[in-house]
Amino acid sequence: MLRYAGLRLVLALPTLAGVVLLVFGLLQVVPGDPVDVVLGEGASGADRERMRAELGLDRPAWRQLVAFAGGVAHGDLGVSLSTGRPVAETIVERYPATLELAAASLVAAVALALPLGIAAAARPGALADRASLALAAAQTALPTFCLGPLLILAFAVELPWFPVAGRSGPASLVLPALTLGLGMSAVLARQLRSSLLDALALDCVRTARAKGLSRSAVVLRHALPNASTAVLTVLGLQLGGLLAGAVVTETIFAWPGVGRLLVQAIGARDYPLVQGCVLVVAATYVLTNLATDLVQAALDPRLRGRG
Amino acid sequence: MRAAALGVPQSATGASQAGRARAWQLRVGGVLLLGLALAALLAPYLAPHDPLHQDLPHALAPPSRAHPLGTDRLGRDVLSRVLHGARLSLVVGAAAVAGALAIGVALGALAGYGGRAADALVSAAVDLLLAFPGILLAIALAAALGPSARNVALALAVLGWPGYARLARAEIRAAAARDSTRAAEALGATRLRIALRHLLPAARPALVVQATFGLAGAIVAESSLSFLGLGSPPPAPSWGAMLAEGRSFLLVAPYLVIAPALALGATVLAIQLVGDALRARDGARP
Repeated sequence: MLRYAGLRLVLALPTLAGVVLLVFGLLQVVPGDPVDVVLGEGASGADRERMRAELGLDRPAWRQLVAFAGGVAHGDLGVSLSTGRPVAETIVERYPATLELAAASLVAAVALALPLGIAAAARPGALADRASLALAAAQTALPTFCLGPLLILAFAVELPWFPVAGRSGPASLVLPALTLGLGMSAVLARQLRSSLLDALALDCVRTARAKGLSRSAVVLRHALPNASTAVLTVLGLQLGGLLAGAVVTETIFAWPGVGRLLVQAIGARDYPLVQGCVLVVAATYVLTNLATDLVQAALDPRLRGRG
Repeated sequence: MRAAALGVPQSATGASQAGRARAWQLRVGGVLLLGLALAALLAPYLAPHDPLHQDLPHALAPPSRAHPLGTDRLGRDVLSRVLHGARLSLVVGAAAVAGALAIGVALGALAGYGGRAADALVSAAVDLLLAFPGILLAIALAAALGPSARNVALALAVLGWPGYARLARAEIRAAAARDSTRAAEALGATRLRIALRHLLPAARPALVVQATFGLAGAIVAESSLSFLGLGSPPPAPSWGAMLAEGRSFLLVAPYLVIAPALALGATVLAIQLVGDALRARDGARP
């Protein structure tokens, strides 16, 4: 297991290097001169030179890349153009809010998907099964930026149960977490249903049933553990999508996380801050996928052999 | 497949029932999609008003005979904007998928039939890009390029190709191992001819299915980017931008949010229905 974990960690390094390279490339594809974009055409020559030096644009591209990568390795993401504060510091302030939202969405998704998926698998074709299908269809047709405002309309405006926006205690977490979690739960419930149906056909589960265990004991104690690996894969993939989806959800609910920071930075043309946000979210995504792989390998030794 | 695993032979009636459900899906989805495409195409004739015409005295008017879906904060007709928005969504979505498909198929064919070095290079690039949250990169790329519909399509195409490349590579490798391909090789056909005449046609059904779902994804992504202010700059009628704008008036004019949300939902649902039916027809690949 340790050897496998080490191998996976080493294999994640090129991906992380790719993240750095792509994020660096962002500033290079800004059409025209980024300095013009930031300062406007009418800026004085001295101001332009200072900004150029600040962004490192006065050096050849490869020197910029080396400096950028070196900075990232030391946790230095540059200085925000709009506030003058270190980018890393700003992101560290906002990161906990994003993690909190992601965790709450995950809990909401699992809490919804678990009963729905189990009920759907227990009686294929029955009401719960159809409900999970309808939820899956609704989820793809109603992306977060549609669902969020509709939830606000229903549960913050018509029925004033939760705050419309902002981060002010547990109640303010409910609607954004539901917005993100509902979408996840549909896919999760469908995956759980299909894995459970496969697991229910296993010999060991048939044996459990044959020795007279109750239906719920068979499903919960014998089929569910066998179905958990596939569900975990989907969960890990979804968690990554959740971090990216947080950009939209945080914007809808004025949630002070990294996603909203990214949108604000884009609006302010604060390129170092944009780069920092993308870098942190993408790195979190890569590391989440890595963690999913490791948890899976810990649960299922058969996976460790495959690289 | 599950029935087979349980040792239960699939009955003929079951199969034809599934076939009927499939035909129904294809019909409903196809009609919906055709209607949407027509609405998008004929938007200038169908729309009761100019989508950009401002009428401030009648701003935020509730639905009425003159404005079936009401007016927005500048007095613009919401129905006309939704109809013209369909245009933008479908065109940007289709352009993004076409671009991604073109890059993906070319590189996928190269990886699947172009020798080991090409395969290693393309596969490494595919793995790298698929290890990222695509929508985040699209946001970042569209932001760097500047807000416009063209840049949204460009960002979605540049970041959307790896999925098609992976599928094309797999399908082409499978087709290359077939006896018919071997025979063509033995007859002295050039590799390019084999790729174009034998391998790509074999890969087409799977790619069509993936591109159908890709279109739904691209339309949602376009709306997400427009919602974040990265799409066509105002006053262009885009569903995502309309949703973003309407959020401020949830209390007084909820239809400003509901109308574009429903339009987007119906579009995605229609495309998914068609995609599901196509997938089922091409031999139930999950």
